[in-house]
Amino acid sequence: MRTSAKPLVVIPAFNEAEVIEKTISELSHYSQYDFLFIDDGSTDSTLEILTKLDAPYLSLPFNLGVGVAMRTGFQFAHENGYRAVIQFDADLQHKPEFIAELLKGLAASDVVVGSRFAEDKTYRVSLLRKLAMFLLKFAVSRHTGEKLSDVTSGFRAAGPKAIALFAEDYPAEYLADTVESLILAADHNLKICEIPVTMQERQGGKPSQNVFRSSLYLGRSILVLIASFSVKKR
Amino acid sequence: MTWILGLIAVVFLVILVFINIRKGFLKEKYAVLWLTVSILSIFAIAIPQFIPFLATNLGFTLPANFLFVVTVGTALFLTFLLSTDISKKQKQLEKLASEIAILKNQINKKS
Repeated sequence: MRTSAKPLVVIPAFNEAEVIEKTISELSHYSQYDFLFIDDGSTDSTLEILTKLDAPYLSLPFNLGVGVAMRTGFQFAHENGYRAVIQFDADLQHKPEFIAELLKGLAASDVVVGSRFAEDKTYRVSLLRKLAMFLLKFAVSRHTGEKLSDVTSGFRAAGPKAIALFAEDYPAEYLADTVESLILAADHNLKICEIPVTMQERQGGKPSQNVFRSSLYLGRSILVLIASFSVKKR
Repeated sequence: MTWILGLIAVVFLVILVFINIRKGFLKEKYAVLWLTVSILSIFAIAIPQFIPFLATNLGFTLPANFLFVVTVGTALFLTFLLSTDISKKQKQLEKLASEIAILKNQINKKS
């Protein structure tokens, strides 16, 4: 297996035709990273745009969720000998300049989470979501023994150990991939740390949160919490 | 004469199972399961005192209640079995989708 010196930035994309072009051009300034878009069975022109602009991508035959998209990315990274994987949002919510910060964190940890709360106080969420986040934080912190403030952040980096683990097994359940992957990592004795990042407004595309989804999110969070208690802490 | 109805139902089930095995629509695992159900039903039909006997000894006032508990219990067990099976299939499907995506990418690179 050859090893790649460059970190791989994996960008799951599901129906992001509106913004994907902007994302590609934005990221083209960062030649120190390899990029890999994962088209998660998009039904709009996301795939055509990726092909047209000659962006590196993998295309899943049908929509399977962010979790599966990420697992695919990790599998690709593992097979191609990448030493670091960064998960990045297709709608540019995450700022590419923070990728370097996350990578720095990998020196001492296996998983680095970009936290929206750690420093930036401007990030606001609804009450329902806040409750869900609190429960999740509690569950994850209990498992990892680490104080994490933003366990649902989708902006994160994974080192070699985490890549090997996530290539094999990555939680695929709707909206829980972020949290359960942390619990999974903690259960395999991987070191998790958090680094403050700031986010920007979505540059387009549909937001994946509304009241109904928030409730669903809360429900699933409670399930995750219960599940995390039923698993013996190592 | 109601036992004839039961017998017809069981014969129908057995034939259904065998037809589907021959067509390759039914895995042995499930065939065994359904055949077990039919064998148990035949027992119940052949020995009419069997179910009332069991029911009384297990403390059911009516044999019908006992039958309800057994059938609903069996149905729940089977659906649960199917749920776990479907979940397993879903996981395999996800893995296959990943593999296809990666292979397609490799093929595109070569051509």
